[in-house]
Order: sequence, then C-alpha cells, then structure tokens
Amino acid sequence: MSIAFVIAAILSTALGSLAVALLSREEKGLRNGVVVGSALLGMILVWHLGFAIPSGVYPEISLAIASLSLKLAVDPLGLTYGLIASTLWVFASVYSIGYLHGDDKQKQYFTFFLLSAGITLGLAFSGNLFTFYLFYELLTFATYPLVVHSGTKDALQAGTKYIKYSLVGASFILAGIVMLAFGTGGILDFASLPTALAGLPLGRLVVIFFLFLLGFGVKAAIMPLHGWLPAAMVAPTPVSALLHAVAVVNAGVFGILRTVYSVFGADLVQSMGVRPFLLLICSITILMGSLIALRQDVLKRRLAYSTISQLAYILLGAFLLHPLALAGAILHMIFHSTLKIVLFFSAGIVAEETGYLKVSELSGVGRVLPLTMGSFGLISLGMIGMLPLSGFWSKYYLLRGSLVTGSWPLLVVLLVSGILNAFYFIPITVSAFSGQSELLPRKRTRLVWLMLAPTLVLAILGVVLGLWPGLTWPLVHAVVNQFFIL
Amino acid sequence: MSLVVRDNLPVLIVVALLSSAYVMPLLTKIRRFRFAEFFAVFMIALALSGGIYLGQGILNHGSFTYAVGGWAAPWGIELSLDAVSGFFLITIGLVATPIMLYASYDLVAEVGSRSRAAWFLTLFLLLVAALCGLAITGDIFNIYVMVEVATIASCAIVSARNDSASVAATFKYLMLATIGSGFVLLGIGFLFVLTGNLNLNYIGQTLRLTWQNYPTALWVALSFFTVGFGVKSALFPLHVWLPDAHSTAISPSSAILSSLAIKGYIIALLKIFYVGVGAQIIWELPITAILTLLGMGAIVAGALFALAQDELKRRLAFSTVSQVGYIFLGIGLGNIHGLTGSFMHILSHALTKALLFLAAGAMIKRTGKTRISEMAGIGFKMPVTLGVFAIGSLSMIGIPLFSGFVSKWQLLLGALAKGNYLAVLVLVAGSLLAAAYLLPVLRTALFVRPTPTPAKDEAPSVQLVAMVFLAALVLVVGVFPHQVLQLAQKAAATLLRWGVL
Repeated sequence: MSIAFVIAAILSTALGSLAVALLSREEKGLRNGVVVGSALLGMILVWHLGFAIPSGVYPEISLAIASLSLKLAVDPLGLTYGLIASTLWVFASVYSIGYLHGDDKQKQYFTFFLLSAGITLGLAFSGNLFTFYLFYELLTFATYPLVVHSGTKDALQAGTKYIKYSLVGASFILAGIVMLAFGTGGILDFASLPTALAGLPLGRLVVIFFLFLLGFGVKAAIMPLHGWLPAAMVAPTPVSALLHAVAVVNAGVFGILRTVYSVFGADLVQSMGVRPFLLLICSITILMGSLIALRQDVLKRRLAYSTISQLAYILLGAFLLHPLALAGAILHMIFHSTLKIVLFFSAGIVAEETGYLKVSELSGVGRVLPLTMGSFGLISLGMIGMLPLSGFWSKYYLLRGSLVTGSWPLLVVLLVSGILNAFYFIPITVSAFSGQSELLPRKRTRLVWLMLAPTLVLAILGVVLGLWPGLTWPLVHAVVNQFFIL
Repeated sequence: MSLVVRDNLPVLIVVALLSSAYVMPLLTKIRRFRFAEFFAVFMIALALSGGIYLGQGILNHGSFTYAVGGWAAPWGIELSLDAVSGFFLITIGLVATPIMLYASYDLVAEVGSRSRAAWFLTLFLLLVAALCGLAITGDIFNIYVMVEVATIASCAIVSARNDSASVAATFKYLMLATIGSGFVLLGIGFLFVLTGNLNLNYIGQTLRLTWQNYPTALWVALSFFTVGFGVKSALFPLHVWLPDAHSTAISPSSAILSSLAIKGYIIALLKIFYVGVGAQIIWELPITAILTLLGMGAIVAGALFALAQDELKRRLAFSTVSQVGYIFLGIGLGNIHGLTGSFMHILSHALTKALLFLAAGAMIKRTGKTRISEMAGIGFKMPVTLGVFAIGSLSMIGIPLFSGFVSKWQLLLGALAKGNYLAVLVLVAGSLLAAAYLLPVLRTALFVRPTPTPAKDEAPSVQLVAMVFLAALVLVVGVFPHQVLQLAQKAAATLLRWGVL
C-alpha cells in the first residue's frame, strides 16, 4: 500500500498548485498556508517512504499509457533525490513567501512553484524510462514561468535559452528511448533494463548512451551544455536556489545516474569503454567551472559556475563505476544541495536588503547582516570541503574512490578544484566582515525573518551532517547496495 | 424501424448530412437562425454517434461491406466499412461538432449576412457529408465524386466572408484544386482501363495478377494520384494555395479545412494505394520512397515557413503543411507502426489544429490583433483561451500526455523499424521546430505583461465550451489512447493485410 504514499506525495503538491491557481489573487494568507502546507505534506510523505529503506521492500505501480506504461516505483536512488528535493522545497517555500512579499505575481509564482514540486517527485519515483522522460520534459515547462518571473527582457531571453537547451536535450533523450524500446521490444523498466540490454550490439548501445548523456547533460550543466544555467540567474533568488542548485540540475544528474546504473548497469558501461572519455569531460567541467567562477563578479553568477563545477563532482563519482565513488557521488548530491541552497539564500537576502549584487560591493556587508554573511562564510567552507562541514565527507569518498580505481590524475583535479573553491569563496567572507561599509542597518520592510530562518536552519544542518555524516549512511548504503553486490 | 436504421447506418450518415445540408436555406427562412445552427450541430453530433457505433462494431466484429441500393459489387456502389472508415468517421465527428458549435455563436456577423450564413451552413454540412462519404466508400468513382463535393465546398467556405483577400485566396485554391482533380480523374481513368473495375477490392484483385504486364502504366497512374491528392492535401511543395486559403477564411472555416478537409484526401489516397493497388505492389514501386522524402521535406520546410510568419493564422496554416508531412512520412514508411502513426496523427492533428485555429480566432476577434508580436499580455485578458492554446501547442510539439506524442512515438518506431535514421532525425527536429514556432506565441501572450494589466475579457462561453471540449479530447487521447490506438492499429493492419492477401 505504500505506493499510495508516492501518489499522495505527488498529488499533495500538484493539488496544492491547483488550489493556488483557483484561489483569488488577494487571499494571501490562505495561499501561503496552502503553499507551505502542501510542501510540508509532500515532505512528510516522502520521509515516510524513506523509513522503508531498512526493510528493503520497495513498492511500485504501473498504468498503461500510449502503448507505453506509466510506472511509479520507489528505490533507494529515487528516494535520495526525492528526499533532497521534497525537504528543501519546504525551506524554499518559506523563503519564497518572504522574498516575494509585495510582489504582484505571487499567484502565478506559487502555482508553478508547487507544480514543479509535484513533477520533481514524479521524476524521483519514475519506475521506467518513459515515465522519467515524461516528468523530465514537464519539468522544463513547469519551471519556465519561474525563470521568466520578472517578465523583463533579460528574463525572457534567459527563459528562451533555457527552453531551447532543455527541449533539444529532451529530444536526444526521446531518440535514445525510442531506439532502446525498439531494441528491447518495449522493455523500459529500470528494474529489468540492464539485463534486457545484454544482447544488443555494443555500437548501438554506445550511441544510445551518448544520446542520453547529451540529453541529461543539459540539465546537469556538463560543459559545453551549461550555457543556460548562468543565464537563468535572472530568476528570483529562491528559484535560483531551489531549481538551479537543487531540483532541476539534480534532475539532470539523477538522469545520468539512472542512465549509468539503472539503464545500462555499471558492467555494461565498463565494457563499452567510454569511461576515460566521461572522466575527462567531468574533469574539464570541474576545473573550467571553478576557473570561470573565479572571474565572476556578480555573486549569483559565481555561484552558478560553482554549481556547474560541483555537479561534475557528482558525475565524476558516478562514472568511476566503483562503490566508494558512487557513495561519494550520492553524498555529494545530498551535501551539495543542502549547502548550495544556503549560499543562494544568503545571496538573496543580501541583494534584497542592500541591493548589492556584485562581489566587489560586498565589503563590510557582514557588519550589517552578520547572520546572513556568517552562514554564507560557514557554508562556503563546506563547499571547499573543510571540516566540520558536510562537504568534506563527500569529497573524501570521491578521493578514495578515485584512488581505489587507480585514477590518480583525478586526485589532482579534485585537489586543485578545492583550492580554486577556496580562492573564490573565502575572499567574499573576509571582505564582508573586514571591509568598511557606508551601509546603515535599515528598517526591514520585507519579511526578512522568513528568509533568514530557513537559511540558518539549513546552515546548522550543514554542520550537523558534517559532524555526524553517519546520519545519511542508511540511504547511501542502500543506493550502493542497489547497484553493486558488496 | 431501429433495425432498418442500424442495417443501413453507413449510407444513412451520408444521406442525412447531405439532405440536411440542402434543407438549411429553407430552414433559416421558416425558423429562427439559431435553430438552424443548432440543427446543424445536432446533425453532425448524430453522425458522430453513428460513427462511434460503427467504429465499436468494427472493432468488435470486424469489417463489413454495404451495397448501396442492394446492387451488389462490382456493378453497384459498395461501401466498405472497415477500421479505416470507423477511425475517420469518429475523427470527423469529434472535430466537426465543436467547430460547428463554435461557429454558431456569431456566424451571421462573421460572414456578413443571414443568407450567406445559411449558405455557410449548407456548405459546412456538405463538406462533412463528403468527408464521411470518403471515409466509407469502397468505389473509386465514388471517391472522385466525394472529392469533388469536398473541394467545391471547401473553396466556397474559404470565401464565406466575401472580402477581397479571401476571394483571391479562393480563386488560387480553386485553380490548383481543379488541376488536382484533373490528375485524380486521370489516375482513375488509368486504373479503370487497366482493370476494368471501379470497385477498389476488385481493382486490387485484378492488379495483383496482372500488374507486371504494365508496370509503367500503373506507375503513371500512381504518380497522377500522388500529385492530384498531394495538391489537395497540401503536400509540400504543392502546398502553395493552403496558407492563403486557410489564413484568410473565417476561423471555423480555417479550423475545419486545416483539420479535416485535407485529411479526407489523404484517406482517399490511402484507400487507393493500399486497398486498390495493394501494399506489395506499392513497395515494389519507388512511390513509398518518394512519399517518405516529400513527407520529410514537408515537415522541415513547412515548419521553417511557419517560423517566418508573424501573423498568427498564417503561422498555423504553415504548421499544417509541416504536420501533413508527418502523415505522409508515415504512409511512406508503409509499415504497421508508420501507418498507425499516420492514422493517429490524422486524429491528433485534427483535434489539435482545430483547437489552435479556434483559439486563435477567439483571440483575434477579441483584440483585433492578428500579429503575434502585438499579442503581449493577451493571456491576462483571456486566460482560458490561452490555456487551451497552450494545451494545443504542447500536443503539437509532442509532449507526452498530449495526443501528439502518441502519433510521434508510433512514427518514430516506424522509422526505426524501417532503419530510416534520417526520418528519426527529421521527426525529432520537427517537434523542436514546432516548439520554435508555437512557444513564442505563448511567451508573448502569457509572460510579457503590458501596463496596465488588461482586464479579463474572455471569449463567449459557447466558444469556450467548444475549445475546452477539444482540449479535453487532446488530453484524453494523450493519457488514455488505448481504444483509439487499437482502432488505428487495426486500420493500419487492414490496409496492410489487404495488400498481402
């Protein structure tokens, strides 16, 4: 019966979206209640599923559609993504209410905000490739209105860029899926795909693999498919925080994890001989992302390039095809999301309170906004990979994974990138607290505490997970167990 | 009584529509105009229910033939009721009913006068009757008669408003369509000389035994059909009449012409090719390769032309050129998936394009703006209309859960089964191009916000009902395609099996 929880989780957010759409523009209190309530309900339901992990029995359900079946299923990998997204969605919804206070397009915003949550959960619990593709495609359309929220020319241009990249990517995926379905006689289930592929010619499999990689690589912002992400930073900050650090980009990463482990299987990817190429691409993305981030003056753009670089860490872990590296990838997916969202939240508060968007303007801001910049400084240490923050542990496992598989050049890549991270994060904090500022503490017109509270809670979470990384272990262990026989 | 109706249902559908068409001018004289309009809606809906009844019967009990007037084939006219007819009858009914309903709201104002409006109703019913006739006929000369009726009716419908642009477009259309008819007639003449028969099944039987004696003659006949029906169904590069005709006509006319009229000729072509000539012979001749190429050319070229248009209705008209390419591509692929895809696309495009034209018509009517670049913020004014327009756009792009995906998927499988990777590429690129020419409309209408925000001013509720009905169908076919897909598969199988037999 626990599949009912999956459906309920998707519906709670999707129906929440419908309720927001039907409510009148003026009923703000009720709307805010619906937004937080349905996000919270979704989160509780997904967490409830999460507690099924120890039993190792996962529910599934299928529905026939379009001669293809729509299938929802719970598995550890999907749960990881679902838990991250649904939890952070609650924080982002509270933050959004604070951020959009006084905005006259709140209704449109929250309609699509909740709709995207439902679609993201659908993606997390897709049981076959077709369902995955369906939600992946829908996610593009549901998040577009959030990206172009401000309606300015820049926003519309960024939105068009986003749609173009995503649709072209999705077309590659569709082509891959149809070739796969044709080859396997219609088998698209994640549970049975790796075995069903065994008989197909290797050349065709490589083509399909690269179609998927190109498709999912767009949302995962692998270079050179990343162009939409920095442009999309014109979106409101909670959107950048949630979608461009968590849900949408992780959807791409999640898609690649699915491709490697649920569609092809680690053995088949190994025998296709594409691993060195994949690792090379990831390394380039990691280093280039960090280098470009170093030269960005607009804070959100710097964070965007940092995201591009960090996502490639996750992919690197996935492509190493080793249990330790996969553990590192999963840990990094969890930790990067929870850390990066704090950085965006802080940047948003700074921008709203002071109007400053550039790194060069931030000198002394820490004295006016100590809690905000304090969280920023603390969490940026986690992005660099320092103890006692959670970011250390994922990098540790990634390093171990690359050593065990004998890919020592990756060690250099990871360490150099860590140093670059320090170069582009630490000066921000230092100047924020040491520099002089003409700013005076202002009377706060916005509901700034609604933005500050989620930031602080998540910052504390970063420390807690850094001190007790074992909290995530059941999940990570289940994912690794799912794909490797230990 | 009911038994008589049931046994003669195939011919009754056409006869009822034809006779009510001629009653229309009289009816508008003796009753209120609104009554005549609703009578027309009622008749089409009646035809729809007849079509659904027949379709269900065919799905459950298989196809059957009906001899008109009790004269058996090959002397009499034979109607052959198979999955192809069932599928197309249902398509006609599902699409024509909401279009007529939509038109009924302000028909007199749209076309200028009461008498013209009465003639519009007549022509509309004639067109629907001719399309139903094309769906069920099994006789090649009967096909020609129905094709002519449909052509004349469509030409006249284009000029319903009687302004200079639409009359000029009609003239262009009439000229090309007549040339097309000439080619079709020549093709029919060839087949008759070759086989001595007008009945499609008998032509098929004769050709199977003798065609190798005169392959060139058969090849010429098929070329005539391809060109003739190609002109009429706007197969690129024979599409030149379509954009003018479909964009200058009043919106309900554009909707029925783009969604149904051109499909009738495609059904005729399918019947002649696969029932009359037979799949095996078709495959021996290069015709399928040519259709595949033309289809792919149409998909890309139509979409590129559409991209270049700023006028909304012209963009939609060129989109039809592109979408017809999908149908011809499926026919060219010629395997079960390809043909199923073609049938599904006939239905899906009919629903979607009717929806888009009706929504565009409502937007243009309310705001007086015909260009996409002027449509900033219409979404705030007419949220429901833009909502259904969005559904239509997503279906046209081929997003899953919308009907367009079902046909796209079948066509993709068909292309792969044929090993035609170029077709896969074109199909995928075609939906990207569809996104490129449809999404900017939504972006401008929904996300560019003029100051001050326009007040809500939605389309009249009768028209909304028609549009929402079509949008719901798009979703229903997209989410629960099982029944229609089965019928489409059966239609494709029918065409192929008859060829093999």
